[in-house]
Amino acid sequence: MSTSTATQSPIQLPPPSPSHLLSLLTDSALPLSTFAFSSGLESRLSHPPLQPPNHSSTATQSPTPKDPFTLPTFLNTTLYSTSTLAVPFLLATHDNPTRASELNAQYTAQLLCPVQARASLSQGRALRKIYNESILPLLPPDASGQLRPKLTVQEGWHIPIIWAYVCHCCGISRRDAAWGFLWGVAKGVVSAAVRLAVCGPFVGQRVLVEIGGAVEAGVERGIKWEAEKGIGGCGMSWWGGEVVGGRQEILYSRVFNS
Amino acid sequence: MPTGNLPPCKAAGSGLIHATSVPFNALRRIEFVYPLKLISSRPSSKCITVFLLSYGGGLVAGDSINLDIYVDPNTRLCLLTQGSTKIFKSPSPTTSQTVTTHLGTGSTFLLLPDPLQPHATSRYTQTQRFYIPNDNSANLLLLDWTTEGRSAMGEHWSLTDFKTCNEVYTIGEDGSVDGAELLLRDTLFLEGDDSAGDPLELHYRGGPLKSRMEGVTCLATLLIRGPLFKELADHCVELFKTEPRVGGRRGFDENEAQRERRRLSEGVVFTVAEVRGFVVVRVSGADVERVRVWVRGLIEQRGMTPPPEGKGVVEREFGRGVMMCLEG
Repeated sequence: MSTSTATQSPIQLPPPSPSHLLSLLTDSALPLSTFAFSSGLESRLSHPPLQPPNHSSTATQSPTPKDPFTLPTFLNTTLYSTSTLAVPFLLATHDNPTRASELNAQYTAQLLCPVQARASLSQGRALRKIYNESILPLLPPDASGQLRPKLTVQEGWHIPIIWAYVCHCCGISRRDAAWGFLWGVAKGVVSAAVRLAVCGPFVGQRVLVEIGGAVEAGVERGIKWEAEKGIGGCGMSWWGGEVVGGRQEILYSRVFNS
Repeated sequence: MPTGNLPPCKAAGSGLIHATSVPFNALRRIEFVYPLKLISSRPSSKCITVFLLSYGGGLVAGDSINLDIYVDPNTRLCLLTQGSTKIFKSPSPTTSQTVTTHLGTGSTFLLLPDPLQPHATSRYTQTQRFYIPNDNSANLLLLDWTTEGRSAMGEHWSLTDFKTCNEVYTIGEDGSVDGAELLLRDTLFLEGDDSAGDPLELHYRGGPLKSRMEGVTCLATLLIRGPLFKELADHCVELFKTEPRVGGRRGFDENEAQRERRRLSEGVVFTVAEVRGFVVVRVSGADVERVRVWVRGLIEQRGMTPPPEGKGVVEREFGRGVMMCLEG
Protein backbone atom coordinates (compact mmCIF):
# COMPACT_ATOMS: atom_id res chain seq x y z
CA MET A 1 0.00 0.00 0.00
CA SER A 2 2.68 2.41 1.00
CA THR A 3 4.62 1.79 -2.22
CA SER A 4 1.66 2.70 -4.38
CA THR A 5 0.99 6.05 -2.57
CA ALA A 6 4.63 6.95 -2.86
CA THR A 7 4.60 6.50 -6.63
CA GLN A 8 1.32 8.41 -6.95
CA SER A 9 2.49 11.63 -5.30
CA PRO A 10 6.21 12.19 -4.66
CA ILE A 11 6.95 13.64 -1.25
CA GLN A 12 7.34 17.43 -1.26
CA LEU A 13 10.21 18.36 1.04
CA PRO A 14 9.56 21.54 3.02
CA PRO A 15 12.02 24.34 2.20
CA PRO A 16 15.00 24.48 4.55
CA SER A 17 14.54 26.86 7.48
CA PRO A 18 16.64 30.04 7.70
CA SER A 19 18.38 28.81 10.86
CA HIS A 20 19.25 25.54 9.13
CA LEU A 21 20.68 27.48 6.19
CA LEU A 22 22.62 29.83 8.46
CA SER A 23 24.30 26.95 10.25
CA LEU A 24 25.09 25.49 6.84
CA LEU A 25 26.59 28.74 5.54
CA THR A 26 28.83 29.11 8.59
CA ASP A 27 30.14 25.56 8.21
CA SER A 28 33.93 25.41 8.29
CA ALA A 29 33.97 23.66 4.92
CA LEU A 30 32.29 26.61 3.21
CA PRO A 31 34.13 29.61 1.73
CA LEU A 32 33.94 32.11 4.57
CA SER A 33 35.68 30.12 7.26
CA THR A 34 37.68 28.06 4.84
CA PHE A 35 41.21 26.93 5.38
CA ALA A 36 42.89 28.99 2.66
CA PHE A 37 42.79 32.40 4.38
CA SER A 38 44.31 33.59 7.61
CA SER A 39 43.05 37.23 7.54
CA GLY A 40 46.58 38.56 7.90
CA LEU A 41 47.54 36.22 10.76
CA GLU A 42 50.32 34.50 8.85
CA SER A 43 51.91 37.79 7.83
CA ARG A 44 51.51 39.21 11.35
CA LEU A 45 53.47 36.28 12.78
CA SER A 46 56.40 37.23 10.52
CA HIS A 47 56.21 40.92 11.46
CA PRO A 48 56.94 41.66 15.09
CA PRO A 49 55.98 45.20 16.16
CA LEU A 50 58.38 48.04 15.36
CA GLN A 51 60.78 48.86 18.16
CA PRO A 52 61.45 52.42 19.25
CA PRO A 53 64.72 53.63 17.71
CA ASN A 54 67.74 53.28 19.94
CA HIS A 55 69.20 56.77 20.10
CA SER A 56 72.38 55.93 21.97
CA SER A 57 74.41 53.70 19.73
CA THR A 58 76.87 52.86 22.50
CA ALA A 59 74.19 51.33 24.70
CA THR A 60 74.47 47.61 24.99
CA GLN A 61 72.01 45.90 22.77
CA SER A 62 69.11 44.94 24.96
CA PRO A 63 67.51 41.70 23.95
CA THR A 64 64.61 42.15 21.56
CA PRO A 65 61.46 42.41 23.67
CA LYS A 66 59.01 39.59 23.42
CA ASP A 67 56.38 40.03 20.73
CA PRO A 68 53.17 40.83 22.64
CA PHE A 69 51.09 38.92 20.09
CA THR A 70 48.21 36.89 21.49
CA LEU A 71 45.60 35.08 19.43
CA PRO A 72 42.54 36.47 21.30
CA THR A 73 43.78 40.05 20.83
CA PHE A 74 44.50 39.48 17.16
CA LEU A 75 41.07 37.95 16.75
CA ASN A 76 39.31 40.82 18.56
CA THR A 77 41.10 43.38 16.39
CA THR A 78 40.24 41.42 13.25
CA LEU A 79 36.56 41.35 14.23
CA TYR A 80 36.71 45.05 15.10
CA SER A 81 38.14 46.01 11.73
CA THR A 82 35.67 43.73 9.91
CA SER A 83 32.79 45.40 11.72
CA THR A 84 33.77 48.89 10.56
CA LEU A 85 33.93 48.16 6.82
CA ALA A 86 32.67 44.76 5.66
CA VAL A 87 29.70 44.50 8.04
CA PRO A 88 28.15 47.90 7.13
CA PHE A 89 28.35 46.92 3.44
CA LEU A 90 26.83 43.55 4.27
CA LEU A 91 23.92 45.20 6.09
CA ALA A 92 23.31 47.70 3.30
CA THR A 93 23.24 44.90 0.74
CA HIS A 94 20.89 42.84 2.87
CA ASP A 95 18.52 45.81 3.12
CA ASN A 96 18.49 46.28 -0.61
CA PRO A 97 19.82 43.31 -2.61
CA THR A 98 18.95 44.98 -5.91
CA ARG A 99 21.74 47.47 -5.15
CA ALA A 100 24.28 44.68 -4.70
CA SER A 101 26.27 45.48 -7.86
CA GLU A 102 26.48 49.16 -7.04
CA LEU A 103 27.49 48.46 -3.44
CA ASN A 104 30.07 45.98 -4.68
CA ALA A 105 31.59 48.70 -6.87
CA GLN A 106 31.80 51.00 -3.87
CA TYR A 107 33.29 48.30 -1.69
CA THR A 108 35.90 47.65 -4.39
CA ALA A 109 36.81 51.37 -4.31
CA GLN A 110 37.35 51.15 -0.54
CA LEU A 111 39.29 47.90 -0.33
CA LEU A 112 42.82 49.07 -1.06
CA CYS A 113 44.75 46.08 0.23
CA PRO A 114 45.21 43.74 -2.75
CA VAL A 115 45.71 40.68 -0.55
CA GLN A 116 42.39 41.26 1.19
CA ALA A 117 40.68 42.09 -2.10
CA ARG A 118 41.92 38.91 -3.75
CA ALA A 119 40.84 36.74 -0.81
CA SER A 120 37.47 38.44 -0.61
CA LEU A 121 36.82 37.95 -4.33
CA SER A 122 37.77 34.30 -4.37
CA GLN A 123 35.59 33.63 -1.32
CA GLY A 124 32.77 35.47 -3.08
CA ARG A 125 33.22 33.36 -6.21
CA ALA A 126 33.10 30.14 -4.20
CA LEU A 127 29.98 31.18 -2.31
CA ARG A 128 28.21 32.11 -5.55
CA LYS A 129 28.89 28.64 -6.90
CA ILE A 130 27.57 26.97 -3.74
CA TYR A 131 24.50 29.18 -3.81
CA ASN A 132 23.73 28.40 -7.44
CA GLU A 133 24.44 24.67 -7.27
CA SER A 134 23.40 23.62 -3.80
CA ILE A 135 21.11 26.15 -2.13
CA LEU A 136 19.09 27.74 -4.91
CA PRO A 137 17.29 24.57 -6.12
CA LEU A 138 15.71 24.13 -2.66
CA LEU A 139 14.69 27.73 -2.06
CA PRO A 140 10.98 28.55 -2.17
CA PRO A 141 9.80 31.19 -4.68
CA ASP A 142 10.24 34.81 -3.59
CA ALA A 143 7.46 37.05 -2.28
CA SER A 144 6.03 37.65 -5.74
CA GLY A 145 5.86 33.92 -6.44
CA GLN A 146 8.77 33.99 -8.90
CA LEU A 147 11.47 31.34 -8.81
CA ARG A 148 14.78 32.96 -8.00
CA PRO A 149 17.19 33.07 -10.94
CA LYS A 150 20.71 31.77 -10.84
CA LEU A 151 23.11 34.44 -9.71
CA THR A 152 25.35 35.45 -12.57
CA VAL A 153 27.60 38.44 -12.17
CA GLN A 154 29.89 40.01 -14.69
CA GLU A 155 32.36 41.41 -12.21
CA GLY A 156 33.40 39.51 -9.12
CA TRP A 157 31.39 40.15 -6.00
CA HIS A 158 33.19 40.49 -2.71
CA ILE A 159 32.27 38.09 0.06
CA PRO A 160 30.31 40.52 2.31
CA ILE A 161 28.14 41.54 -0.64
CA ILE A 162 27.31 38.05 -1.86
CA TRP A 163 27.00 36.78 1.70
CA ALA A 164 24.30 39.37 2.36
CA TYR A 165 22.59 38.61 -0.95
CA VAL A 166 22.50 34.87 -0.24
CA CYS A 167 21.33 35.38 3.35
CA HIS A 168 18.56 37.64 2.12
CA CYS A 169 17.41 34.99 -0.37
CA CYS A 170 17.54 32.34 2.36
CA GLY A 171 15.29 34.38 4.64
CA ILE A 172 18.08 34.97 7.16
CA SER A 173 17.66 38.27 9.03
CA ARG A 174 20.21 41.07 8.59
CA ARG A 175 21.36 40.70 12.18
CA ASP A 176 21.86 36.95 11.83
CA ALA A 177 23.61 37.53 8.51
CA ALA A 178 26.08 39.89 10.19
CA TRP A 179 26.53 37.50 13.09
CA GLY A 180 27.18 34.55 10.78
CA PHE A 181 29.71 36.56 8.79
CA LEU A 182 31.75 37.61 11.83
CA TRP A 183 31.52 34.13 13.31
CA GLY A 184 32.87 32.70 10.05
CA VAL A 185 35.77 35.18 10.09
CA ALA A 186 36.58 34.16 13.68
CA LYS A 187 36.54 30.46 12.84
CA GLY A 188 38.76 31.05 9.82
CA VAL A 189 41.38 32.86 11.90
CA VAL A 190 41.38 30.19 14.59
CA SER A 191 41.67 27.34 12.13
CA ALA A 192 44.59 29.17 10.51
CA ALA A 193 46.15 29.64 13.94
CA VAL A 194 45.95 25.92 14.62
CA ARG A 195 47.42 25.19 11.21
CA LEU A 196 50.28 27.63 11.88
CA ALA A 197 50.90 26.05 15.30
CA VAL A 198 50.03 29.26 17.17
CA CYS A 199 47.94 27.07 19.43
CA GLY A 200 46.66 23.53 19.63
CA PRO A 201 43.15 22.46 18.68
CA PHE A 202 41.85 22.48 22.26
CA VAL A 203 43.10 25.98 22.97
CA GLY A 204 41.68 27.00 19.58
CA GLN A 205 38.27 25.74 20.60
CA ARG A 206 38.53 27.59 23.90
CA VAL A 207 39.33 30.82 22.05
CA LEU A 208 36.22 30.25 19.94
CA VAL A 209 34.13 29.70 23.07
CA GLU A 210 35.45 32.98 24.48
CA ILE A 211 34.95 34.97 21.28
CA GLY A 212 31.13 35.01 21.43
CA GLY A 213 30.99 38.41 23.11
CA ALA A 214 33.34 40.01 20.59
CA VAL A 215 31.26 38.65 17.71
CA GLU A 216 28.09 40.12 19.25
CA ALA A 217 29.88 43.42 19.87
CA GLY A 218 30.99 43.42 16.24
CA VAL A 219 27.40 42.96 15.07
CA GLU A 220 26.25 45.85 17.28
CA ARG A 221 29.10 48.06 16.11
CA GLY A 222 28.45 47.27 12.45
CA ILE A 223 24.75 48.07 12.82
CA LYS A 224 25.59 51.33 14.59
CA TRP A 225 28.21 52.39 12.03
CA GLU A 226 25.96 51.61 9.09
CA ALA A 227 23.07 53.55 10.63
CA GLU A 228 25.09 56.56 11.83
CA LYS A 229 27.80 56.98 9.23
CA GLY A 230 26.34 55.28 6.17
CA ILE A 231 28.52 53.02 4.05
CA GLY A 232 30.38 55.98 2.55
CA GLY A 233 31.44 56.98 6.05
CA CYS A 234 32.76 53.56 7.03
CA GLY A 235 36.27 52.34 6.45
CA MET A 236 39.51 50.88 7.66
CA SER A 237 40.07 51.01 11.40
CA TRP A 238 43.16 48.86 11.78
CA TRP A 239 46.19 50.46 10.20
CA GLY A 240 48.61 47.69 11.21
CA GLY A 241 46.40 44.98 9.77
CA GLU A 242 46.32 46.81 6.45
CA VAL A 243 50.08 47.29 6.17
CA VAL A 244 51.19 43.94 7.56
CA GLY A 245 48.38 42.08 5.77
CA GLY A 246 49.55 43.56 2.46
CA ARG A 247 53.02 42.13 3.07
CA GLN A 248 51.67 38.58 2.78
CA GLU A 249 52.80 39.01 -0.85
CA ILE A 250 56.46 39.06 0.10
CA LEU A 251 56.63 36.34 2.74
CA TYR A 252 59.47 33.94 2.06
CA SER A 253 57.21 30.97 2.40
CA ARG A 254 53.50 30.93 3.02
CA VAL A 255 50.72 28.51 3.71
CA PHE A 256 47.74 30.83 3.21
CA ASN A 257 46.49 33.15 0.50
CA SER A 258 45.77 36.00 2.89
CA MET B 1 34.92 72.32 -14.64
CA PRO B 2 32.93 75.57 -14.70
CA THR B 3 35.02 78.16 -12.84
CA GLY B 4 33.51 81.35 -14.23
CA ASN B 5 30.99 82.24 -11.55
CA LEU B 6 32.43 80.88 -8.32
CA PRO B 7 30.98 82.81 -5.39
CA PRO B 8 33.36 84.67 -3.07
CA CYS B 9 34.37 82.99 0.18
CA LYS B 10 32.45 84.26 3.17
CA ALA B 11 32.09 81.49 5.75
CA ALA B 12 34.69 81.20 8.50
CA GLY B 13 37.50 78.89 7.49
CA SER B 14 36.57 78.77 3.82
CA GLY B 15 38.98 79.32 0.99
CA LEU B 16 39.31 79.20 -2.77
CA ILE B 17 42.24 78.67 -5.09
CA HIS B 18 41.95 78.87 -8.84
CA ALA B 19 45.17 78.12 -10.68
CA THR B 20 45.68 78.62 -14.38
CA SER B 21 48.50 78.41 -16.87
CA VAL B 22 47.05 80.51 -19.69
CA PRO B 23 48.67 82.77 -20.75
CA PHE B 24 51.18 82.04 -17.98
CA ASN B 25 51.24 80.29 -14.60
CA ALA B 26 49.14 82.36 -12.23
CA LEU B 27 46.54 82.25 -9.53
CA ARG B 28 43.38 83.64 -11.00
CA ARG B 29 41.83 83.73 -7.56
CA ILE B 30 43.08 83.08 -4.05
CA GLU B 31 40.72 83.87 -1.19
CA PHE B 32 40.52 82.79 2.42
CA VAL B 33 38.65 83.59 5.60
CA TYR B 34 40.02 83.35 9.16
CA PRO B 35 41.16 80.91 10.61
CA LEU B 36 42.36 79.65 7.23
CA LYS B 37 45.35 81.36 5.70
CA LEU B 38 46.84 80.83 2.26
CA ILE B 39 50.15 82.20 1.06
CA SER B 40 51.31 81.90 -2.50
CA SER B 41 54.88 82.13 -3.60
CA ARG B 42 55.72 83.72 -6.92
CA PRO B 43 54.69 81.20 -9.59
CA SER B 44 57.69 79.69 -11.32
CA SER B 45 57.74 78.33 -14.83
CA LYS B 46 57.56 74.85 -13.29
CA CYS B 47 54.53 75.18 -11.05
CA ILE B 48 52.41 77.34 -8.79
CA THR B 49 52.96 76.83 -5.07
CA VAL B 50 50.51 77.69 -2.31
CA PHE B 51 51.05 77.23 1.42
CA LEU B 52 48.14 76.14 3.56
CA LEU B 53 48.40 77.66 7.02
CA SER B 54 46.23 78.20 10.01
CA TYR B 55 46.54 80.84 12.69
CA GLY B 56 48.61 79.56 15.58
CA GLY B 57 49.94 76.71 13.49
CA GLY B 58 47.09 74.41 14.31
CA LEU B 59 43.38 73.82 14.43
CA VAL B 60 41.42 74.39 17.63
CA ALA B 61 38.16 72.81 18.72
CA GLY B 62 35.36 73.43 16.30
CA ASP B 63 37.49 74.94 13.53
CA SER B 64 36.06 74.01 10.20
CA ILE B 65 38.31 74.53 7.22
CA ASN B 66 36.72 74.29 3.80
CA LEU B 67 38.99 74.83 0.85
CA ASP B 68 37.99 74.53 -2.80
CA ILE B 69 40.66 74.26 -5.41
CA TYR B 70 40.36 74.49 -9.18
CA VAL B 71 43.31 73.52 -11.32
CA ASP B 72 42.87 74.51 -14.96
CA PRO B 73 43.83 72.15 -17.80
CA ASN B 74 47.59 71.60 -18.15
CA THR B 75 48.29 73.59 -14.99
CA ARG B 76 50.49 72.48 -12.12
CA LEU B 77 49.65 73.36 -8.55
CA CYS B 78 51.48 72.36 -5.36
CA LEU B 79 49.86 72.73 -1.98
CA LEU B 80 52.32 72.63 0.91
CA THR B 81 52.44 73.53 4.59
CA GLN B 82 55.14 75.12 6.74
CA GLY B 83 55.14 72.75 9.70
CA SER B 84 53.01 70.00 11.11
CA THR B 85 49.31 70.71 11.56
CA LYS B 86 48.59 70.51 15.27
CA ILE B 87 45.13 69.43 16.20
CA PHE B 88 44.44 70.83 19.62
CA LYS B 89 42.34 69.16 22.26
CA SER B 90 38.66 69.31 21.58
CA PRO B 91 36.30 68.30 24.36
CA SER B 92 33.19 68.36 22.25
CA PRO B 93 32.95 69.78 18.72
CA THR B 94 34.90 67.94 16.05
CA THR B 95 37.55 69.91 14.22
CA SER B 96 37.35 69.38 10.49
CA GLN B 97 39.23 70.15 7.34
CA THR B 98 37.77 69.55 3.91
CA VAL B 99 39.71 70.15 0.73
CA THR B 100 37.93 69.64 -2.58
CA THR B 101 40.06 69.75 -5.69
CA HIS B 102 38.85 69.85 -9.28
CA LEU B 103 41.50 68.83 -11.75
CA GLY B 104 41.35 69.80 -15.41
CA THR B 105 42.58 67.73 -18.34
CA GLY B 106 46.31 67.16 -18.17
CA SER B 107 46.63 69.10 -14.91
CA THR B 108 48.81 68.17 -11.97
CA PHE B 109 48.21 68.51 -8.27
CA LEU B 110 50.76 67.85 -5.57
CA LEU B 111 49.63 67.78 -1.97
CA LEU B 112 52.73 67.36 0.15
CA PRO B 113 51.97 68.68 3.65
CA ASP B 114 53.80 68.12 6.90
CA PRO B 115 52.24 65.45 9.09
CA LEU B 116 49.13 65.93 11.17
CA GLN B 117 49.73 65.89 14.89
CA PRO B 118 46.57 65.05 16.83
CA HIS B 119 46.97 66.06 20.46
CA ALA B 120 45.44 64.25 23.41
CA THR B 121 41.61 64.28 23.47
CA SER B 122 41.42 65.86 20.00
CA ARG B 123 38.62 65.10 17.57
CA TYR B 124 39.37 65.53 13.92
CA THR B 125 37.84 64.70 10.58
CA GLN B 126 39.74 65.37 7.38
CA THR B 127 38.21 64.88 3.96
CA GLN B 128 40.18 65.36 0.76
CA ARG B 129 38.10 64.98 -2.36
CA PHE B 130 39.48 65.01 -5.87
CA TYR B 131 37.49 65.22 -9.07
CA ILE B 132 39.51 64.11 -12.06
CA PRO B 133 38.63 63.88 -15.75
CA ASN B 134 37.81 60.40 -16.99
CA ASP B 135 40.57 60.31 -19.60
CA ASN B 136 43.37 59.44 -17.14
CA SER B 137 45.23 62.60 -18.08
CA ALA B 138 45.32 64.24 -14.64
CA ASN B 139 48.30 63.72 -12.34
CA LEU B 140 48.03 63.42 -8.61
CA LEU B 141 50.63 62.99 -5.89
CA LEU B 142 49.22 63.00 -2.41
CA LEU B 143 50.91 62.44 0.91
CA ASP B 144 48.67 61.96 3.92
CA TRP B 145 50.50 61.36 7.16
CA THR B 146 49.97 61.50 10.86
CA THR B 147 52.01 61.21 14.03
CA GLU B 148 50.98 59.87 17.42
CA GLY B 149 50.82 63.36 18.98
CA ARG B 150 53.31 65.16 21.20
CA SER B 151 55.45 62.14 22.07
CA ALA B 152 57.69 64.20 24.35
CA MET B 153 54.65 65.06 26.47
CA GLY B 154 53.67 61.45 26.80
CA GLU B 155 51.03 61.54 24.10
CA HIS B 156 50.92 58.25 22.27
CA TRP B 157 47.77 58.07 20.18
CA SER B 158 45.90 59.75 23.06
CA LEU B 159 43.39 61.35 20.67
CA THR B 160 39.66 60.87 21.13
CA ASP B 161 38.58 60.48 17.55
CA PHE B 162 40.40 60.76 14.25
CA LYS B 163 39.28 60.18 10.70
CA THR B 164 40.95 60.90 7.40
CA CYS B 165 39.33 60.21 4.08
CA ASN B 166 40.78 60.61 0.59
CA GLU B 167 38.27 60.19 -2.19
CA VAL B 168 38.84 60.34 -5.90
CA TYR B 169 35.97 60.64 -8.34
CA THR B 170 35.99 60.67 -12.12
CA ILE B 171 33.74 63.20 -13.73
CA GLY B 172 32.02 62.71 -17.07
CA GLU B 173 32.32 64.61 -20.34
CA ASP B 174 30.11 67.47 -19.15
CA GLY B 175 32.39 68.11 -16.21
CA SER B 176 29.59 68.04 -13.68
CA VAL B 177 30.23 66.76 -10.19
CA ASP B 178 26.75 65.29 -9.77
CA GLY B 179 27.30 62.28 -12.00
CA ALA B 180 30.84 61.69 -10.76
CA GLU B 181 31.85 58.09 -10.22
CA LEU B 182 33.75 56.95 -7.14
CA LEU B 183 37.11 55.58 -8.13
CA LEU B 184 38.84 55.18 -4.81
CA ARG B 185 38.11 55.91 -1.19
CA ASP B 186 40.84 55.60 1.39
CA THR B 187 39.43 56.01 4.87
CA LEU B 188 41.23 55.57 8.15
CA PHE B 189 39.56 55.66 11.54
CA LEU B 190 41.49 55.84 14.75
CA GLU B 191 39.13 55.49 17.66
CA GLY B 192 40.60 56.70 20.93
CA ASP B 193 40.13 54.89 24.20
CA ASP B 194 37.78 57.43 25.77
CA SER B 195 35.35 56.89 22.87
CA ALA B 196 34.89 53.25 23.86
CA GLY B 197 32.62 54.01 26.81
CA ASP B 198 33.19 50.83 28.76
CA PRO B 199 36.30 48.66 29.22
CA LEU B 200 34.60 45.68 27.61
CA GLU B 201 34.16 47.53 24.29
CA LEU B 202 37.83 48.51 24.45
CA HIS B 203 38.70 44.85 24.99
CA TYR B 204 36.54 43.88 22.02
CA ARG B 205 38.40 46.39 19.84
CA GLY B 206 41.60 44.51 20.60
CA GLY B 207 42.82 46.75 23.43
CA PRO B 208 43.78 50.42 23.79
CA LEU B 209 44.59 52.33 20.59
CA LYS B 210 48.27 52.62 21.54
CA SER B 211 48.66 48.88 21.85
CA ARG B 212 46.65 48.31 18.66
CA MET B 213 49.19 50.52 16.87
CA GLU B 214 51.94 48.04 17.82
CA GLY B 215 54.88 50.43 18.04
CA VAL B 216 53.86 52.58 15.06
CA THR B 217 54.22 56.26 15.94
CA CYS B 218 53.93 57.69 12.45
CA LEU B 219 51.90 56.44 9.53
CA ALA B 220 51.78 57.65 5.97
CA THR B 221 49.80 56.98 2.82
CA LEU B 222 50.92 58.10 -0.63
CA LEU B 223 48.56 58.09 -3.57
CA ILE B 224 50.17 58.36 -6.99
CA ARG B 225 48.36 58.63 -10.30
CA GLY B 226 48.81 59.92 -13.82
CA PRO B 227 51.19 59.76 -16.77
CA LEU B 228 53.59 62.36 -15.35
CA PHE B 229 54.26 60.24 -12.25
CA LYS B 230 54.46 56.90 -14.04
CA GLU B 231 58.20 56.70 -13.45
CA LEU B 232 57.70 57.21 -9.70
CA ALA B 233 54.77 54.78 -9.58
CA ASP B 234 56.81 52.11 -11.36
CA HIS B 235 59.66 52.71 -8.94
CA CYS B 236 57.38 52.11 -5.94
CA VAL B 237 55.95 48.92 -7.42
CA GLU B 238 59.40 47.60 -8.28
CA LEU B 239 60.75 48.49 -4.84
CA PHE B 240 58.07 46.40 -3.17
CA LYS B 241 58.39 43.55 -5.64
CA THR B 242 62.10 43.27 -4.99
CA GLU B 243 61.81 43.79 -1.24
CA PRO B 244 63.78 41.05 0.53
CA ARG B 245 61.47 38.15 1.35
CA VAL B 246 60.25 38.28 4.93
CA GLY B 247 61.61 35.30 6.82
CA GLY B 248 64.24 34.61 4.18
CA ARG B 249 68.01 34.95 4.57
CA ARG B 250 69.30 38.49 4.96
CA GLY B 251 72.63 40.17 4.67
CA PHE B 252 73.92 37.38 2.47
CA ASP B 253 75.36 38.21 -0.93
CA GLU B 254 74.13 41.79 -0.69
CA ASN B 255 75.44 44.42 -3.06
CA GLU B 256 75.86 48.09 -2.18
CA ALA B 257 72.43 49.12 -3.51
CA GLN B 258 70.71 46.43 -1.46
CA ARG B 259 72.61 47.50 1.64
CA GLU B 260 71.48 51.10 1.10
CA ARG B 261 67.92 49.94 0.77
CA ARG B 262 68.14 47.96 3.97
CA ARG B 263 69.53 50.99 5.82
CA LEU B 264 66.73 53.16 4.45
CA SER B 265 63.97 50.81 5.47
CA GLU B 266 65.25 50.24 9.01
CA GLY B 267 62.48 51.08 11.44
CA VAL B 268 59.76 51.25 8.79
CA VAL B 269 57.35 48.73 7.32
CA PHE B 270 55.69 49.45 4.00
CA THR B 271 53.41 48.04 1.34
CA VAL B 272 52.75 49.07 -2.22
CA ALA B 273 49.57 48.22 -4.09
CA GLU B 274 48.31 48.93 -7.58
CA VAL B 275 44.63 49.73 -7.28
CA ARG B 276 42.38 51.12 -10.01
CA GLY B 277 45.06 53.11 -11.80
CA PHE B 278 46.66 54.31 -8.56
CA VAL B 279 49.76 53.25 -6.77
CA VAL B 280 49.04 53.26 -3.06
CA VAL B 281 52.01 53.24 -0.70
CA ARG B 282 51.53 52.77 3.02
CA VAL B 283 54.33 53.22 5.51
CA SER B 284 54.45 52.61 9.24
CA GLY B 285 57.37 53.94 11.23
CA ALA B 286 58.74 53.67 14.74
CA ASP B 287 59.41 57.40 14.62
CA VAL B 288 58.54 60.30 12.38
CA GLU B 289 62.12 60.92 11.21
CA ARG B 290 62.44 57.41 9.85
CA VAL B 291 59.24 57.83 7.89
CA ARG B 292 60.37 61.24 6.65
CA VAL B 293 63.68 59.86 5.42
CA TRP B 294 62.06 56.83 3.86
CA VAL B 295 59.37 58.79 2.01
CA ARG B 296 61.99 61.23 0.75
CA GLY B 297 64.08 58.31 -0.48
CA LEU B 298 60.99 56.95 -2.23
CA ILE B 299 60.11 60.24 -3.93
CA GLU B 300 63.75 60.70 -4.92
CA GLN B 301 63.52 57.18 -6.38
CA ARG B 302 66.51 55.91 -4.45
CA GLY B 303 67.49 52.33 -3.79
CA MET B 304 66.90 51.06 -7.34
CA THR B 305 68.22 51.85 -10.80
CA PRO B 306 69.19 55.54 -10.66
CA PRO B 307 66.65 57.78 -12.42
CA PRO B 308 67.64 60.09 -15.35
CA GLU B 309 70.10 62.85 -14.29
CA GLY B 310 70.19 61.12 -10.90
CA LYS B 311 67.00 62.92 -9.89
CA GLY B 312 63.51 61.58 -9.40
CA VAL B 313 60.68 62.78 -11.59
CA VAL B 314 59.28 65.05 -8.86
CA GLU B 315 62.56 66.90 -8.44
CA ARG B 316 63.09 67.18 -12.21
CA GLU B 317 59.61 68.51 -12.88
CA PHE B 318 58.95 70.64 -9.80
CA GLY B 319 62.27 71.28 -8.07
CA ARG B 320 63.41 70.31 -4.60
CA GLY B 321 61.26 72.99 -2.96
CA VAL B 322 58.09 70.95 -3.16
CA MET B 323 59.67 68.30 -0.94
CA MET B 324 60.25 70.66 1.96
CA CYS B 325 57.99 68.68 4.26
CA LEU B 326 60.45 65.80 3.92
CA GLU B 327 63.57 67.79 4.67
CA GLY B 328 63.32 67.33 8.45
